[in-house]
Amino acid sequence: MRPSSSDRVVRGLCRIYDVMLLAYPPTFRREYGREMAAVVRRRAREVAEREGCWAFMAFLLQIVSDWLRTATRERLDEGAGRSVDAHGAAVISLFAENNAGRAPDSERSARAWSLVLAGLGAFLLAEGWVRWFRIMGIWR
Amino acid sequence: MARAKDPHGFLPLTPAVFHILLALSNGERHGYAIMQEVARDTDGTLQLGPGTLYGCLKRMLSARLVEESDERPDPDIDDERRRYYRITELGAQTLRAEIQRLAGALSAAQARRLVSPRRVPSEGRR
Repeated sequence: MRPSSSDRVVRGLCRIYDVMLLAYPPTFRREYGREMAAVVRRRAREVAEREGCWAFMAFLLQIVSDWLRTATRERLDEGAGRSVDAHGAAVISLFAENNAGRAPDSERSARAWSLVLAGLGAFLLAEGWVRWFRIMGIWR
Repeated sequence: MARAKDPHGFLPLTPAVFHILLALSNGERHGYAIMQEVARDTDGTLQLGPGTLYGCLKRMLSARLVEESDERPDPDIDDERRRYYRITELGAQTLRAEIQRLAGALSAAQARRLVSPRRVPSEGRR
């Protein structure tokens, strides 16, 4: 990517990521949001300058898929954490991925709804990205 | 509660938690450095996203596997708002326990001739 267009793309991505951070619970966002945005900015700049357009597209997909999975998980954890003490919740969360199949019905239902909403969100976001890239003249 | 203090109570670790602990075993690091170290250690096969990284760090801090470091490198060469993380004694014990568990699994696979003992280290570095 040319330096001027890569700067614009990175700035645009950072602005969009700042909005995406709103999907995380407020406590998590306050604690880690600024660092997450800084990590995305630094990595995006590196990929755009050194690895080219296709690597940047792969990076965007990675960011979106990470956001969908972790925003949903942090929301679920926040709900679960209210009924368990902090240390217990942390231990449970470390095992959550291994015991995903054993979730109770209410949690499974919440997870299913989250996935449906996440899928819809991903579709809208992808549509937005394609339009934005066309406007910027990067992808025709 | 007693289970949480026993390193074996945390096993098996998820790949993300395992590699974050492995990255921190070399010394304290900030988030972006952890991401880079994990990508290097796994030859790029595990790329931690920011949500995965900080979600894991949040849970690892609560479980006392890692802690925030108060020390900062020279402010002239580093952003002092950036947070550094280091592994705790419990984290190091948990990492060793997980490595032993994985070594046991590898031995079992080798005994069944599913993997050749000589090929494993060279393939990992390729």
